[in-house]
Amino acid sequence: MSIAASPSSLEALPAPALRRAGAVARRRRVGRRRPPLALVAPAVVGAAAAVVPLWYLADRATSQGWSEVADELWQRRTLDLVVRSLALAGVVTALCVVIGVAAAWLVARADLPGRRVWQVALALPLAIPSYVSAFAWVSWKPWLAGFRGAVLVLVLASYPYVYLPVLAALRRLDPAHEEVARSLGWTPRKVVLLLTLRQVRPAIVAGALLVALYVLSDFGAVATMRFEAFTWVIYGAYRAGFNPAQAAILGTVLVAVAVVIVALEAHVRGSASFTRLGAGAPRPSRPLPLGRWRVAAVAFLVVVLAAAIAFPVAQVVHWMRRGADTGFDVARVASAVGATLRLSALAALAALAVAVPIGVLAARFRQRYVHVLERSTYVAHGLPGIVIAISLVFVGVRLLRPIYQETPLLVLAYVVLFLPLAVGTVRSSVEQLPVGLEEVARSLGHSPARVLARVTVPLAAPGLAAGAALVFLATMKELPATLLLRPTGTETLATELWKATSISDYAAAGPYALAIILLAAVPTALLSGLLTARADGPGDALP
Amino acid sequence: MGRATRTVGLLVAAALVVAGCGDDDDGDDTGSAAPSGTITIYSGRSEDLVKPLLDQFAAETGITVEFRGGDSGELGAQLLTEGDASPADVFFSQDAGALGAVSKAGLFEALPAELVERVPEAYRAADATWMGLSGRVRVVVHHPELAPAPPDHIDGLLAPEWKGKIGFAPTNASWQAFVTGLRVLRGDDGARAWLEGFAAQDPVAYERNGAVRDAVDAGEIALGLVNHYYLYEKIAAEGDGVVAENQYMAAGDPGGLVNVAGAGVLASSDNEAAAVALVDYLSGPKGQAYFAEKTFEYPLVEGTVTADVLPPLADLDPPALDLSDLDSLGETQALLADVGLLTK
Amino acid sequence: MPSPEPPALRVTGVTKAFGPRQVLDGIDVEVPRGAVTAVLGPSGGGKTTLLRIVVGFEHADAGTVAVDGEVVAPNVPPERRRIGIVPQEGALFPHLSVAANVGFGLPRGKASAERVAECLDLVGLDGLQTARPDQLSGGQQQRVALARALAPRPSLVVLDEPFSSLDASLRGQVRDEVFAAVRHARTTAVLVTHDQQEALSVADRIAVLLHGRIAQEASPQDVYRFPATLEVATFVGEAAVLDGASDGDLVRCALGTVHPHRPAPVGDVAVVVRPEQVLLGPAGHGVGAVVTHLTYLGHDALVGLRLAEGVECGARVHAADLPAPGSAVGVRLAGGVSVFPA
Repeated sequence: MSIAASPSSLEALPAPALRRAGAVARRRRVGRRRPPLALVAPAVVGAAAAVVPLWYLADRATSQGWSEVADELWQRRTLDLVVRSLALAGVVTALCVVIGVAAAWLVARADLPGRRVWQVALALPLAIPSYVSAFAWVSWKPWLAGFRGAVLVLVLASYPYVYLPVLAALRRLDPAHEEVARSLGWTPRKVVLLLTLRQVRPAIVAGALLVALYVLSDFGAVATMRFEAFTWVIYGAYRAGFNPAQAAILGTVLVAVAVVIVALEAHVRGSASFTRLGAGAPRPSRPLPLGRWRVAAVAFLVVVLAAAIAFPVAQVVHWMRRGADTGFDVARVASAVGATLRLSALAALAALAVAVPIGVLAARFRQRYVHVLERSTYVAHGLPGIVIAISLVFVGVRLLRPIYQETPLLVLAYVVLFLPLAVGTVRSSVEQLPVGLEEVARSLGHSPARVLARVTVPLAAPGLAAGAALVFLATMKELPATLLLRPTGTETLATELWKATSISDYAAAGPYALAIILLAAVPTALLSGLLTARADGPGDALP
Repeated sequence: MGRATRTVGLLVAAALVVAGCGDDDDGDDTGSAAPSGTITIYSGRSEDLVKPLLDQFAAETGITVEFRGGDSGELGAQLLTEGDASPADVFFSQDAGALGAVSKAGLFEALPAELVERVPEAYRAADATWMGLSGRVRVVVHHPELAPAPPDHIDGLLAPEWKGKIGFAPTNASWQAFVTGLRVLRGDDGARAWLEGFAAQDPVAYERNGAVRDAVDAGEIALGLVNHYYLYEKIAAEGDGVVAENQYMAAGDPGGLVNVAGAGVLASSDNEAAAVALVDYLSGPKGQAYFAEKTFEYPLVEGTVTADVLPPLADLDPPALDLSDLDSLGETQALLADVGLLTK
Repeated sequence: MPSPEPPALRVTGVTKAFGPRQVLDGIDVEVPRGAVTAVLGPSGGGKTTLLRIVVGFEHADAGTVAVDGEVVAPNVPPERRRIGIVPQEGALFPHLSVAANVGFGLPRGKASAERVAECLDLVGLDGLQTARPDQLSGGQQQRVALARALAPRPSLVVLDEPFSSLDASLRGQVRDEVFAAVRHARTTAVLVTHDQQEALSVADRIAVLLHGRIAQEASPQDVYRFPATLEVATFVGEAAVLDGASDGDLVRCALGTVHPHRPAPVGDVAVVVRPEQVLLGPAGHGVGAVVTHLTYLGHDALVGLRLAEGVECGARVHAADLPAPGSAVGVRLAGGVSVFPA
């Protein structure tokens, strides 16, 4: 998630405002130096791992000859599927932007009562797996099945991907620009729409990218809602058609769509390097009084939270109560909790280890290949879990046999799946750091590696922790790769949940679903605090 | 570092500590003189169902079985991707389609003749690469008051009196296997014709077979297309309050498809003797009795006592169909989607 | 005869272009050991680029930089050049205490702790060891930044417009304290600034950087009184430029006949007149002029004057007796002037 701002937003301001905003707007020329090998080497290794699925897809897709590829691609059905998936992604992304930006603005800028609570609560939908929430909705109102149900579930599950970076960006803005605009006669609405939103545009776009890729790759929600999206057909090709070549061809189409979206995002976001000079934090802005809109605003947030969190949790509890007399196996739940926490922690650490070099490079250097390295980690993110899983089965069983169906390969799968979540936050938090600090450290006798360790990483620590938290909670909910690659005999909360639901034992499924939600809520609750933490101050201060 | 950052770091460390105390079974293939040692089973049937039987097997033979559960189709795809290097020894699939696909890829080892010949020809692979272990019959479950004379052939379902009163589970594997069977028996055009007629009946869609059965019992709908054992499961759980009844299909009707859960031994296994011993056990008297008792499915080995609620297998006359041909599920799904019976 | 010690810094032939813009066009400058040298130039004129090349954050297109006689640019990385930097906004590490900031460039150990105390004492902030940067005022932050730069005993300290972000009222005081510390430590210092008052008051030598070249390198008095070019003259200090005609010894201009400092070229020239040289008297005493406006500065005032033929210049006058705008006065010139070819 990038939280850098584009300089173009400042061009719209009158000159006095720019002078007063002063130090903030100066652009440092980064990137003329060559990146150090110590960063490039691990970054290349990490990016190479992230594109293993692409290599597998290319190999498999062409395994039956190019004519087969052509046949599959030029079918009417393939085009239909692309259109359907893009339509779903488009609608969900648009709605997520509306809800995410509105929620972030209300929390950051308006005088809501109990802002701290809202801030944390609005991020919590990330703790709820989409397959749980989809099932909760469709079993209550079966007519939701289809496009609208898929939209509903996916919007509620992924608006936090927009909400969180926009909130962090709003917190970081200097209110001086808005104050000057007001003094020039702009109404509050004009300020928000034409100024504030333009300043946080990069954050909005970066969040929208994650939402779009997530929708393209999601299977649980669309399958439960019986919406024929691309992922469903890919799954079908694997486990109903037993046609890996066809699945690979379809997967390649999905990769192509993802590449276009990823390239588009970089273009729309802009390549600004918006470094703040100086240790001063911006003054927090005065909250805007909502007046008679207050009730509507609170109602809006309540509806979002009720639909996204309260309803699925209530359903899960309801299932559990139905099976209350049979009780549940505490030892089994505990063992699953242990395995889940262990795997999630390992995945978070491994992803961070790869994301830090890539993120630092992307933040500080502007060479073309650095840009490609960073972007390549996003492409696999658009693929459904089963494609990543099968590609790692393929590679694992042939090249990495000793770790096949062992923890290291599973952790690698998680890294491939969730690396962009960490890279985004690392990149944006390093971008926030003034380059001057690192330069001064070098003048004091520190080599680039020591500067990274003593200055960059400690100051970017909240952003790094946020990246780790995102990977942690995404891993907790992950299902397809875990099913195929877990060590035989190891069960996570997600696989136990799946086992119970596959035999329609919802009462038994309840404890596992609830455990996932409760445990995932912990890193999720921390996320909003971490992303808005300021490196130079003791946490974020709500005025 | 801020407080929040430290908290996350502590959490991660705590997670590692807590989970480090957890158990982590590592698969360990120690193949020694047959039949003993450890084998790995990839099972599309649930662990709760199969584990007790496997424990019994282990107690009797000393062979440990590592259980790896999953969706039959995904496990099949995994086996196809793993190829010769697969760590699996036995593949126990919920349906024949996956078995057929793995067999066609040449990944199974042929089972000994005396083993496969325990089950009738229709329920095993022609080349002895896999054998059925229990059978599931497609039936029409009906509410006796709302449907006192339910049809016993699928074309009867297209009659106007049943419009809006039939329930089914569109994503269920058994329903899709039935449609695949229909395509094999009547050809794609014939299948499409029937499906379009069925779709015109406004059938009510449910998530799962169990939900269909419950709806019939509650009188919400008159007829439901499910597998036979769902009714008996409900009766076993709830007793005499259940009113719904099973209507078995006429001889040779596509609606009476018998699908099988079955197993095969992987050629990549390095402990074949133990693997064969397991299949032997599953198709032996103890295994067959277990399935009959636990799941109300039809044990396929002749001579096993079936649950007394079930009509004898011999009385049913399922359509003549090579179950291996049920692996073209991809086209079935495309057809269903096209007709509007799969997705919305 | 012993060979002279090499200068603390010698820049030779440094050029740098950013795209089509030639920012530095052959810079040659020497910084003598132990003194304060100011690099003075307009904003955006390349001073910061030169500084960054010297410290090692940028690579020059051509030329070398030598510190203490050893060539450091282009090959030696910044961490080995032993050049301290006090950046524009202090750039203290926000996650470290003041003591940790000052000791950042020192190895761990007791000796370092003592050195930290010594440097904080030098800048007059003894006792603030455990404070955090966000608890300090702007002036205090700059002084800590200086202590941090001095702690590892660098060959050279570079200060990049270090007082521009401070309140104007504090600027002078902080400046004095900082340079008192620098002189006390006897460290060679290079001050990069656009503020001529700052350069004139603080530096031992000034190098004026205009259009990518060093236009003049001399003592502050020489730069002010005997500027090398017309541009230096108008850039450093207030000046009025009058057209004049020269015959080699004397120059005639709107203020009458004036004496150039140096023999002037014959023909049309430009005459540089400083406001403090222009003396006002009652009308009739000297050249006639009309007062156009007054700029009151408290300690004195700048009087804008219009001479015959519309030529304008300014006079600096003590505030006691201010002529009213519009009144006629008489103007005389005191002292020599700088004269340049027109």
